[in-house]
Amino acid sequence: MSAPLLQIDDLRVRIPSRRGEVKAVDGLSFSVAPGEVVGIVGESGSGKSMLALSMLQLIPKPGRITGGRIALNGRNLIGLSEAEMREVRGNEIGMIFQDPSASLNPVLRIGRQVAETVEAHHRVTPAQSWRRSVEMLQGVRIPDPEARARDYPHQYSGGMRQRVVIAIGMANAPKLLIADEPTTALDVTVQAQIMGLLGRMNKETGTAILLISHNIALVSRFCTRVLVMYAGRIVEAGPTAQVFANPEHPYTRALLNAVPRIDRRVEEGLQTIAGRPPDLASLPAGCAFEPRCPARLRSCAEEQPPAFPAGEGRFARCWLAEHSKHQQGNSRS
Amino acid sequence: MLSFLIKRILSAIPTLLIAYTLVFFIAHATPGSPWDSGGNRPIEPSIKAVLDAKYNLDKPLYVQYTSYLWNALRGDFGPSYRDRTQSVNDIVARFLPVSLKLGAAAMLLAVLLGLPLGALAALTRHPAVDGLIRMISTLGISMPTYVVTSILIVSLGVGLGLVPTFGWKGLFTASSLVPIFSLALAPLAAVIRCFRTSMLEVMNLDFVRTARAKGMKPLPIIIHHMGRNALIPAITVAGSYAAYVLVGSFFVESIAGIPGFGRYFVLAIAARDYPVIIGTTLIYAVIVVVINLLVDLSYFLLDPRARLEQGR
Ligand SMILES: Nc1ncnc2c1ncn2[C@@H]1O[C@H](COP(=O)(O)OP(=O)(O)O)[C@@H](O)[C@H]1O
Ligand code: SF4
Ligand SMILES: [Mg+2]
Repeated sequence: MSAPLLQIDDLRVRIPSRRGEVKAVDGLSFSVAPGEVVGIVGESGSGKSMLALSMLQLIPKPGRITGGRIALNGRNLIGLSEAEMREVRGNEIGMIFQDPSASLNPVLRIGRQVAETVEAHHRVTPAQSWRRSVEMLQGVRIPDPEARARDYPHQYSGGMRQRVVIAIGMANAPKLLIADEPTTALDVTVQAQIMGLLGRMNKETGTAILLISHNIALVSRFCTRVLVMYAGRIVEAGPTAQVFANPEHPYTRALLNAVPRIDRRVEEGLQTIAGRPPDLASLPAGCAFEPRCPARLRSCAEEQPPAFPAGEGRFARCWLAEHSKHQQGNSRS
Repeated sequence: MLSFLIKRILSAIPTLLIAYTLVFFIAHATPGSPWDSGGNRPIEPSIKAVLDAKYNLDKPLYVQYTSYLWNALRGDFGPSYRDRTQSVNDIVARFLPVSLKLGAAAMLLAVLLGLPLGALAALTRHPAVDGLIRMISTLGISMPTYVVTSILIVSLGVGLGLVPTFGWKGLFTASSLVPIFSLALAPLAAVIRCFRTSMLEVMNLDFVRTARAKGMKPLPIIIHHMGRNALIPAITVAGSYAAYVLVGSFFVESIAGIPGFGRYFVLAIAARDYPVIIGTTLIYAVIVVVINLLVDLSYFLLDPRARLEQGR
C-alpha cells in the first residue's frame, strides 16, 4: 500500500457549551490513500461536519481541536500557523459544502468567485484568473461558460450552483477534495449528475475524495471504502462492499435497515433507527450505542469497545467483534 | 435601469404634491399672521389690509394654493414676508450651500469612519476595543446635538483654543470643525451600530465559510464577502440621516453661529413667513426624494437580486 495522502490519528474536537463540553470528534483515526474515494456515513449530529471542518481548521468558535494529528502527505497540519493553513485551504484540500445556494456569495459574479480561489494561491493577473475560472466552469459542464461566468448565483439552478462549488473546490487541483453532503440539498436526477461529475474529477485529476453523506446507496455506489461514524468516533470501517454486505457493528446494521425505500421519504431515512442519538456532551462510559443497541451485552455499558480487526482492512468497535469470525470462519449469525 | 429611474422620478411627484399641500395648509392654519412683529405694538389694520392685498393673502385659500404652486413649479417661490427685499430663491441660494457643504462633510465623515469602526466592533474579540466603540455609538445616539455642540465649543474652543467659538469662515477652516463633528456624531453612531449588527449577521453565513475554505486572506474576505453584503442596511440608515444633516441643524447652526439653512428655516416658521416655510419645505422634500433615489440606486449597484426584481 502506498504512503497515505491523509493520515488522521486520535483526533479530538471539543465544543464548550452550556451543557458541558461537546465531544464532536472523539479520538478518531483513519487514512486516505492518494486518489482513493472514501465515504463517511452516520446519522446527523454524529460529528461528520466537524471532522471535515477540522481538516481545514475552520471549526466555528468556541469549538477547537484538542488533540491528535492530521497529516497531509506526512506533514502535520495541527500546529501550523494561520498563514500556513491558508496555503492548505483551497489549494491542497478543496472543500464542497452541503447547501450550494448558501455556499455562494449572492452579490458576486460566479466567475469572480471561482477566480478569487485561484488568486488566493497564485500570482496571476485578473484576466488570467478569469480565464482559468471560465475553464473550470467549462470543466464542470456549465453551458456557455464564457457568458454565464458573468451571471450571479440567483441566475443559476441548484444543480448548477453545486457545479460551481465543485469548480471552486477543484480550481487549484487539490490532492484531496472533501465533499460534505454535496447532494443532500438537490433532487434525485441532479444528485446523479453531480456524483457523475465528482467521479470524473477523481478519474481525470487523481484527486482523492472524502465523501460525507447519509445516503448509504450513494456511498455504496461511489466509494471503495467506507467509515461508519457514531458519536464522534468511527465504529466500523472497511471496503464498502464488504461492510454493507456483511456489517459487523449493530449500528451499521441499523443504518442499512433504515435505508430509505421507494415508499418512504428521503429525509425520514436515517431517523428510523430506534432511540435518540447520544448527547455528545455526556457520553456514557461504555459503548456509546449501548442504549439503542438491540444486541448489547451486559459488559457493553461498562467499558468502551476498542477497534477489533474484522477481516481484510476492516475493523469494528463492538464487543461482538472481539471473537471475530475471521478467526473462526464466517459462522456468526 | 433607466426605466427604473424614470419610474422612481415619476412616483416622486405625488409625494412632493402631498408635502406641498400639507405644509401649505398647516402653515396657514397656524394662528397669527406674518405681519405680527412679535413686539408689543399691534400692526395697523389698514396697513395689514394693504400688505394682505399685496401678497394675495386676501384671496380665498384655494387661489393662494394654486397660484403659489404654479409659481413654484416655474421655480419662483415668491418673496419673503419677513425680509421683503429678498425672494425665497435669494434666501435659499444664500443659506442652503453652507448647510449642504457642512452636511456633506459630516455625512462623509460619518460613513468613512463608521464603516471601519462598525466592522472593527463586529470582528474584534478584544473587549476593550469593542467596549470603546460601543461607547461612542451609545453616546452618539443618546446625546442631543445641542449638548454635543456645546461640549465641543467649550472644550475645543474655550478650553483648548483650537477652534473659534462662534462664526463661519468657510468649509476648509477651523470654524467648520465643531459643526461638522456635531452633525456627524448621530449618523456616525447609527452607521457604526447598523454595520456592526449586519457584519455580525453576515460573518456566520455559509459563503463566508466558503471564502475561508478557498484560502483567502482575512481582509479580502471582510471587504468582498462580508462588507459588500452588510453594506445595504448601513446605506439605508445613512440615507435616512443624510436628509436631516444636509439641510442643516437649527441647534448646531444657532450655537456655533453658522449662517445656514437649518437655522433660517426655524426662524421663518417663528415669523410665519409662509413663502419661505413652503419653499424651504419643498426643497427639503426634494432633497429627501433625491437621497432616497440614491439609496435605491445603491441597492441596484450592490445587490444583483434587486436588479432582477426591478427588471432591467
Ligand atoms: N456551536 C455548537 N455548540 C455546541 N454543540 C455543537 C455546536 N455545533 C455543533 N455541535 C454539536 O456537534 C456535533 C457534531 O455536529 P456535526 O459535525 O454538524 O454533525 P453531522 O455533520 O454529522 O451532522 C453535534 O452533536 C452538534 O450538536
Ligand atoms: S459494544 Fe455492545 S452495545 Fe456497543 S454496539 Fe457492540 S454490542 Fe452493541
Ligand atoms: Mg453535517
